[in-house]
Amino acid sequence: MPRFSAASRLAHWALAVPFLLLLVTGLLLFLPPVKAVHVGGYRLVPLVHVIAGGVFLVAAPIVWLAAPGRGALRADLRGLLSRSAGDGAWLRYAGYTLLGARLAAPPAAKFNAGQKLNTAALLLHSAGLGLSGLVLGINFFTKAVFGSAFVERVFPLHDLFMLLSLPLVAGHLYLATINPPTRPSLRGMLDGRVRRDWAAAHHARWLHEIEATQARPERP
Amino acid sequence: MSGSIPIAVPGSAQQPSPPEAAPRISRRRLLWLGAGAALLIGGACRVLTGLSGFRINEVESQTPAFDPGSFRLTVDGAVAKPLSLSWAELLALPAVSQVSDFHCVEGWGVKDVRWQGVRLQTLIDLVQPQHPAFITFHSLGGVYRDSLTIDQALLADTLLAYHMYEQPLTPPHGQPLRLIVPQMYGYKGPKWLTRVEFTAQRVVGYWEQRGWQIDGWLS
Repeated sequence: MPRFSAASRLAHWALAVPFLLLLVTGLLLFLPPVKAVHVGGYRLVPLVHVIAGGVFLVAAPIVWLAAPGRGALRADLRGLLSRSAGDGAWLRYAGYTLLGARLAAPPAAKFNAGQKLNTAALLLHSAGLGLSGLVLGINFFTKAVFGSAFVERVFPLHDLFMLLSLPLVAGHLYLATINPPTRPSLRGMLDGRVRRDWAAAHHARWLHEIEATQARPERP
Repeated sequence: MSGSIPIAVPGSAQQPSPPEAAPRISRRRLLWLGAGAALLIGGACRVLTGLSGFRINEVESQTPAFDPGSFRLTVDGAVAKPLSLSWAELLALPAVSQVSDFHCVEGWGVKDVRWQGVRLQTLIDLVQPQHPAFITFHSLGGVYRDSLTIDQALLADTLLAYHMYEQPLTPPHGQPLRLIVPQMYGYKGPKWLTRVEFTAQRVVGYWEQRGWQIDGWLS
């Protein structure tokens, strides 16, 4: 059954691909021999990191503002950034599950409370990383804009946002690719469709809503 | 949890009840989560208080090796009395300590670094440059070099450092010797220093050939 529109998937990957590229190249900067690798007189990893940073800053906003069919994307964003019935029960369930308890998942809407928190947190981290990275990226090309004292205050913030985003990204990747009960959701982000039984197990309220809408007789 | 997730539809009989008063939780999980949270908070504090400190930059894929037995610091070029100092002779020169901030052109800095070494002025006095000249600093390995004017070299806090925080420099920090010019970005101070050469013309340094300012004053 369909879950994500092309615009929603494009928005996800326009954020995710540069983010992962930035995370990998950013972490490689902590390995001096890798950082030292030169291509054509430039250090490869820092250069890729800065260029990917520029792509990161413009790619997702362009998709959000200009993707065809972005009505569905807006609806998804609204769903992700608003509360809905069952969020509290779902959070209690997630907390106990993290602590090793075995409980049945309470029914969730199209997005459960964890997905909502993850989205809000990653958007905040992206904004923090993007703004501090913009300062550092401009400083990479010219010293004429910012003083060194200001840049040196921004630098640790970039590190901090990166550090705090690590568990979020790791958890997101784990749930999407490794954890057996949740990984069927990945298909929804790849070809836009998910299995009905997965939807029934994880997003029962959403499934119920869709099937109720479909069952409604056509208006004359 | 595999395979046996109950399909829960609102209104159906299978809808799970809210968690019982005391679901069984695992102490081991609790410990792991606590350890992870502590690691994260510790890392965040470390980053914010600047304890993460120096990032290591080098332009060769191998850190140059130092052997105290064979090391020589060569001071030559346009000077009256060229020198070739052994490691022991270098350590025998008058030593000074200083505390100065370190600034990298990449945007990070380290406050109050304690250095110990020999004032560049001490070496200049020993070799007696023949005319107003420039000084080029060469790293072991032969790839990295940078240059200063005599006036910059004579700044009171320009130092040839061999100790950092009361310990000998470690290989990533330029063992055995590095140039410290606190009023300029760090790329002006070659690590793994092996030769100080006085020249009539200014030599364009490694990073300046790649776009950085030849005078690396802080902005």
